[in-house]
Amino acid sequence: MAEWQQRAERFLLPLPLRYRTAGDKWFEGRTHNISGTGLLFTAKQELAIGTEIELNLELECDGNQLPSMVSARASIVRALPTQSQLLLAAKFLDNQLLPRS
Amino acid sequence: MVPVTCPGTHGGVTGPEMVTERTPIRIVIADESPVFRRGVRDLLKADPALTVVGESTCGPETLALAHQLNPDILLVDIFMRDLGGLELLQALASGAPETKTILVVGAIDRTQLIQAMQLGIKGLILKSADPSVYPRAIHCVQSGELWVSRELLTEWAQFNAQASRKFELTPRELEIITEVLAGSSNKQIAEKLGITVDTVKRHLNNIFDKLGLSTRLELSLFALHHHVVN
Repeated sequence: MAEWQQRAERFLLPLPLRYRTAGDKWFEGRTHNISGTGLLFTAKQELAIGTEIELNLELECDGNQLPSMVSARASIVRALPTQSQLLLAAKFLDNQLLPRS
Repeated sequence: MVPVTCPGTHGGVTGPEMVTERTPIRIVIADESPVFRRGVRDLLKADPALTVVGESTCGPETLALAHQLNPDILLVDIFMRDLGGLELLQALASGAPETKTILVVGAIDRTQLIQAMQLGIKGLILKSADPSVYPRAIHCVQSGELWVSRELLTEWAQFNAQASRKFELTPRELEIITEVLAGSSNKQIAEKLGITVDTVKRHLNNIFDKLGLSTRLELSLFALHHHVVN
């Protein structure tokens, strides 16, 4: 990242999501924080750095579902095991805001 | 969102009747004071619809209990020394999303209140409140409502109204943001609002410039975080 480029703002939004690697089943998780360029989320299993995942992110506010969702591809950049949960950091490769089907 | 509280002396906005739960509402109490924990536990014993399933005295223990027991309700004073503060709320929001958190605090300032609300708390009780508030607040929150001590209700209600004023967004810009949050394309927004696609793009560029953003995803996240639209 060039020095003059500002890091994208991170939002403390706990949003539900599903993720999977190519050909695998979906796993559920939840964002710890998220920005326009990436996210930190709870995961069920550790994934190697560089692993590409497919993501469906639910948008909700105060527990109410919005009529849209985010469909994205992302690449794992870091794994953060904590005492109680596994957190994975990923950067978006692409993303789309779509009406919920 | 406009907060709604259960009938009673708090808020004055009517809500649904309290419903007797078939299975008891499962509660964890997190507070450093054993006297406080015992007092609340004994208070809640009088209601057969409520059951305390665990107690904790620090943030890590609270988080572990929330994961292990998956309680319906967590009563917690996050501002006590070892209870973890807003970071605990953040960890609970992502690690125990089904548990509804009610803050029980001696005092809270406006910034802390807004941050706690953004992290999804469902209720707020001041420790100076009458003890009879506790079971009422728990039933209210469990039935899907919000519970706020009267002293803080004005702050809570003003939170959403002020969000859009703070960013100097026009009514049309708020309409556009609502449509972006609905996943609408520029063409769909133009058709719905009776304007041209070029006008939609111009409004979006103005919104991005005002808020320092550059993509629809960023705009959506920003709008959710700051409660820019209802």
